[in-house]
Amino acid sequence: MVSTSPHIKIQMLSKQYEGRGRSRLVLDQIDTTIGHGEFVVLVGRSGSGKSTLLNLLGGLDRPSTGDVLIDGQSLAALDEDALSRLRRHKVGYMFQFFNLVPTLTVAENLLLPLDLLGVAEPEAESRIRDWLAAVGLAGRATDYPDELSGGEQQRVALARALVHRPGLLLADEPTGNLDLTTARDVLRLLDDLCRRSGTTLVMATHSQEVIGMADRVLTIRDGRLVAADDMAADDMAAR
Amino acid sequence: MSRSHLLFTVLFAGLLVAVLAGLLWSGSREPSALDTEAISVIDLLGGEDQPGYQRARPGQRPGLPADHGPHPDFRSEWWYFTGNLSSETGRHFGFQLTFFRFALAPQPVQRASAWATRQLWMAHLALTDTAGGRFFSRERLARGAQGLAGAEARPFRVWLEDWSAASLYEGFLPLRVAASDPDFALDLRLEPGREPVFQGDDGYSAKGPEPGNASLYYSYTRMPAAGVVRVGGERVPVNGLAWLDREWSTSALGPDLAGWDWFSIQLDDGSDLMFYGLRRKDGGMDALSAGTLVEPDGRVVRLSRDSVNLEPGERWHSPATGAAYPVRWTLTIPSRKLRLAVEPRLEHQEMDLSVRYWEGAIQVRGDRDGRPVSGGGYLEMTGYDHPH
Amino acid sequence: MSKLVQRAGWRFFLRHPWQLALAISGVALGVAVVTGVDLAGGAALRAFDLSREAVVGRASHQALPRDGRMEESVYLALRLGGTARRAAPVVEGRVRADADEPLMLTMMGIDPLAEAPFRDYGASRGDGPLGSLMTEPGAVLGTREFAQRRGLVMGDRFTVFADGRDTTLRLVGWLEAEPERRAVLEQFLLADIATAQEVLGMLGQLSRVDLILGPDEIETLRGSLPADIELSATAARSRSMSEMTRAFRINLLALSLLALLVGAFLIYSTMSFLVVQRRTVIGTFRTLGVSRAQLFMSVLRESLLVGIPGTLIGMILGWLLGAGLTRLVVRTIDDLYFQLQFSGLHLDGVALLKGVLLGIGVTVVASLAPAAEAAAVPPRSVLSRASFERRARRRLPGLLLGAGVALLLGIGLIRFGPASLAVGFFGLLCVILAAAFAAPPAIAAMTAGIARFGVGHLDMPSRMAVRGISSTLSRTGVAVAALMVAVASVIGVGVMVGSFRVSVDNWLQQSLRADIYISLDEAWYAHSRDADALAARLEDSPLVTEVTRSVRHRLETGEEQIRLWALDPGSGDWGFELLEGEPESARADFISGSAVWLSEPFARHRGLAVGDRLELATAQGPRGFTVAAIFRDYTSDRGVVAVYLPVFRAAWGIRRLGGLGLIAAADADPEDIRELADQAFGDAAGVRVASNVEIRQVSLAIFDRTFTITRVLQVLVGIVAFLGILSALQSLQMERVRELAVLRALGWTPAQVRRLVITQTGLLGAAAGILAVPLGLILALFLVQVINMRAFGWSMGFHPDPATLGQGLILAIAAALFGGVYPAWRSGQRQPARDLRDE
Repeated sequence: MVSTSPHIKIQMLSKQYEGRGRSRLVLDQIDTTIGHGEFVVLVGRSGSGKSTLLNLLGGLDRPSTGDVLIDGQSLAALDEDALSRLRRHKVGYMFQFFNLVPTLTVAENLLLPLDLLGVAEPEAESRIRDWLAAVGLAGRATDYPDELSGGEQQRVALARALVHRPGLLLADEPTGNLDLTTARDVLRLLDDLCRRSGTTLVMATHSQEVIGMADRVLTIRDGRLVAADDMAADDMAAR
Repeated sequence: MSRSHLLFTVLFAGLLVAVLAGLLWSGSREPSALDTEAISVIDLLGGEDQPGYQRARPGQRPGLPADHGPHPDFRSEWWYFTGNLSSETGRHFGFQLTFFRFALAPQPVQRASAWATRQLWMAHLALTDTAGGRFFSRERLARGAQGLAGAEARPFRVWLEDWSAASLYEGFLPLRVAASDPDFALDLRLEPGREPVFQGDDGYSAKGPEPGNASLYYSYTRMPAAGVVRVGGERVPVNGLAWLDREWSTSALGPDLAGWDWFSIQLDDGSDLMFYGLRRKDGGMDALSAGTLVEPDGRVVRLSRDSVNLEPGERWHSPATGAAYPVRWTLTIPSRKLRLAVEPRLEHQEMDLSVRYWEGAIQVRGDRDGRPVSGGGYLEMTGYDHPH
Repeated sequence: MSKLVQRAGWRFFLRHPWQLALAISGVALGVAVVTGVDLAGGAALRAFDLSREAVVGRASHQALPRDGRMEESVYLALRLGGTARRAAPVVEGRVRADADEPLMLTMMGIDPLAEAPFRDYGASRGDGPLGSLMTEPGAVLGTREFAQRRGLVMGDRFTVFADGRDTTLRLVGWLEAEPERRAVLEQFLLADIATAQEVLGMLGQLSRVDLILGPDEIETLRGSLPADIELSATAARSRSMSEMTRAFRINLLALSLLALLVGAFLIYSTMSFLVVQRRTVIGTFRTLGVSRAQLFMSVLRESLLVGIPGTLIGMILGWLLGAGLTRLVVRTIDDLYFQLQFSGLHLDGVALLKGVLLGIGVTVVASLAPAAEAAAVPPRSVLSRASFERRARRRLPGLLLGAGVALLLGIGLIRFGPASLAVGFFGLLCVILAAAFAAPPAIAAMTAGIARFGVGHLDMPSRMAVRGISSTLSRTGVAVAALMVAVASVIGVGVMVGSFRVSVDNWLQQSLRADIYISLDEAWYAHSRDADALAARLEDSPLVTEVTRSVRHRLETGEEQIRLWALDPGSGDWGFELLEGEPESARADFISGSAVWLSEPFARHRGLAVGDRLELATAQGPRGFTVAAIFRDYTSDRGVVAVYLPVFRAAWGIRRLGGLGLIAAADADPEDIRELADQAFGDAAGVRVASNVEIRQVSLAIFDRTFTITRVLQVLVGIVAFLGILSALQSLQMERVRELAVLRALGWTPAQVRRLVITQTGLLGAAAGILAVPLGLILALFLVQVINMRAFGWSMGFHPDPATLGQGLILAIAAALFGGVYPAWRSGQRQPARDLRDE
């Protein structure tokens, strides 16, 4: 399932934020690759830069130096509109706060990415049906997000992230807002669906349980990538 | 936010200024459409009989030269000049100049203002330029006060503003006919020709069965005319023959009559013909239709309805009024062995004025007692714009 | 493609119907005011047009005798000589037809046979009246309305008084006209020219000759007319009459556009709020790959949800408003300028189209910036909320810069630009916008000041309220600016009107020196009485020190009209306020006849100053006068030329007097003088006697009536602003729902939360009010010294009334508090738990 050419290439990526007279180096020369279908987890303390890295991977933000290549395509070379198009085709998102559009129904939320791609109506409808069933919300198509529980909303968000078959799913603390049981269910669903569809999954999280499920763990400390082994050693030391 | 705020303001200011300018300088008033109909006078003609006016009496005969002048106590009256003229090069012109007088009240008015009068005058002027295919007609109205319009017997003069027909010397003829318009004009001198003809019963021409429902009517059927016609900026010397019809009455057309067809013809053998056919609403000619034939030697022959056959020919449809006038006729007087074919010089000689009628120069050809005759004249047709 | 985005947006709107309703109301009101004023102005102009046309018809020129009567031979020469083909004689005069009250009518004598090209009286074919009209003495045509008023039927006789005697007339036909002209024709009796000459005593004379002339005929005709007859173009005269009311109409228009401006602010603030509230959703869209252009268009299309219904409702309201306003406008023009009849509101397609374009155009333009803002939302803002507010505060200096630029532009235009009214208004607009830009930074500064110095004395909610203002400034700034502009305009117009009134009152007190004023009109003169003899007799009385005399005369000179005011003010103080000119020498020159005095508007419109020469066309030909003085005068915004009465009589040969003023002796009782005047004039018609107190009262009453329209529009502007602040405050509270829920969770009572909200809104209102006062004064100054000067030509004092200022301040606070009541109550009611949940 892991193909030979890398899906994502992160090259000497750095991000600096200008504050009030001060500047902060959030990411410092991150360099690594992620293969197709890999499940990669980003761990680190709050403020360590994981969200920033996730943003940069999806083209939501621009690096100060360095570049991200997705399937060989350099993100730095693209302008805003091209980045938008890239996101439509190749990227799916999940956020901590679900971020469903409150004034659209569940089905309409799922229709959004398909509509942007210009998928024909019958095909779109069928896909929406399939994905809703896959996340176990078959009968809730016409409900509005505020009628769903947190877990259900996140499951809709998951379906929305995958319905347009992006190669890449970026998840930022997707279980941060859920209770333990629900979080576990959602994670399992997430892992399962990504593996089955061959989608590369990059997730920023605190959850220990997720770390166990992942193929690879990238630790970020003070903006830098720390070797997995070092992390394991630190953990041992901490315990 | 500041950038968009400024953008907003500049755009909005621009819009506001544009709108302000537009609103200030826009004219949002439409011109109002106003009618240009003249005040109608025709309903004074042929309306119900008004009591108090003087009426023609059977046996009454016009006395000249006194009766050349106006008869203010009669309801209506006219001096009606027509003629056919040609230039040195043979260009044909026809002309008509008519002065109408209408009395608005049977008794004379005595009032302080010099504008007060009971006489209303109307003049029609028409010119036919056959070669050029053009026909002009004009109307003027004026009150018979302040010298604006009027008529006198001695010396003879009839005028409306600057249109006039007036004797040049003491006698009635020769007289000068002059009328002008920005587009055309005529200035002619009419010479004595044939003696005046008294129409009907020695000048008493019955128009209806009741006594007094008649007019007093005489004609000068043949007057040599010479002068100048101005048309389209050109002044053309012309000469030819003119005709004067004089009539005054207090009478009304019978209710069953639609109108009339009136012919005045001057033939090259020296005879003159006048005939009017009163047309009935149900078709057919009324019994009171009449006319006269003046023989070359001056003898006057009265014509009655039965002695004349009038056959209307082809009709011409007026684009302006929609009326269909028979502009071609066949006129036969079997007892005089006379047969004439009447052709208009131009088809569109319609007068579209306060009154609508067809009045135009005609050409006639035919034979008399086997010999060919030809000539010209005028044809007047009324009552064709109200089909029933 | 972006259907879903659009749908999401519209449903958001529909979930907050009050916001939608408020925004629509704002647009509707703005459009209604502009349309209403436009329709009213159009209707007034149309009424004027029709009234002119009813009388003048299609005549392109008129041969007018200088003193009202000309020899009929002039017309006859034209007619018979063929100089003028289309000419119609007219004999016109006033007659009195008494019913329950004296009724003045105009008898117009015409020659029906010459009238065809000029006028259509609707005398239809088959009507009989022509014969009677021309031959029967006293035969007239009248309108059905007139007959109804007098209780007449066709054929009835009635009596009129003219030329010093009673005459019997008979109604022989109806004067028909289209509905719009009927109102004007109601005061006309149409007669044959002979009848008119006889009834009016004008035998041998005409009032004028109407002409239709081709361009090449004009000069020839002018040359052939005698010296005392003027050939004047009707179009030019009507143009000048429309000019007269132009300034008035422009002022109305400007006020109405102000309402629309405030409405535009409302839309801007509403759309802006919406974008801010949905930042997260917009961010989500951006992460999904919705392009910026799509978001931009989506916001614009949403604004149409406000614009289209708002405009449609505005059109209907505007129609109703227009009908009401028209009466006011026509009445004002009637009071101030010339007689006008209300002829009904005409469905003016162009005005409605303008309203539609304006409403929708303004909506779209006002939404451009919020739409651009939506498009500029970066995708990652979905994750971070705080950075937005920080950025807003950083933009404040930019606003100040914008304010400075606008202010300089405005002042520059006024000082160095052309002295036109439109430029004046544009300059005013720049100043208003400068203030609007400067409002948010000013408020930020004010609240920072309070926060620094006053904070210790305040309790928690109040302290939070103060700090809260600056944190929400990005959203509330625009709303407060709008409220400030609206309140400032209320103050500004109020102060201007107040100043004007004070100036007029002062001027009246100074110039009304006589105790009793007597005015005489043509009805009195119809009896061929001699005013001079009466004046002399009055002067003999021991009760009267002096009698002043005057008459007003309109001089028609070809293309224009000059109002002459001939007066003999006596030997005492004349009561003029001279703005230019040396009093002693000016008076001497005036009396000698070498000079005239100009009223301020006249001098200003023609750019004349003391020492310049003015040429006037007298009965003996043109004569030059020096300008000796310029005086203050509010009787006419076209201005008058004052000339000494004996000089006027000699030069123009008009002996009539229009008015007398009786100056009482020192010990005389005003009541006695009144009685003296009443006795001298008896019961005669056409005389009005009034004391100077009464005149002052009536003048001020007319003044107040005139500004009724202004007051109505002020109220409307106020309402629009109120809606704006209401909408803004609603949105603001929605924004802070979560924050307030947190406070509740911490233990604040609902009452405390409500206190917080009310205090905040009250402070915003107070801020707007405080800022509105100086702006309002500046506005008033502008209106007095620039707008009024350029529109009408007169100067006035500046008298700001503290009451007006106070009212403005109270209005601002009241609006804000009132607008905050509902949100405050609602925020107290809410369940914290629900709000703490994330959406």
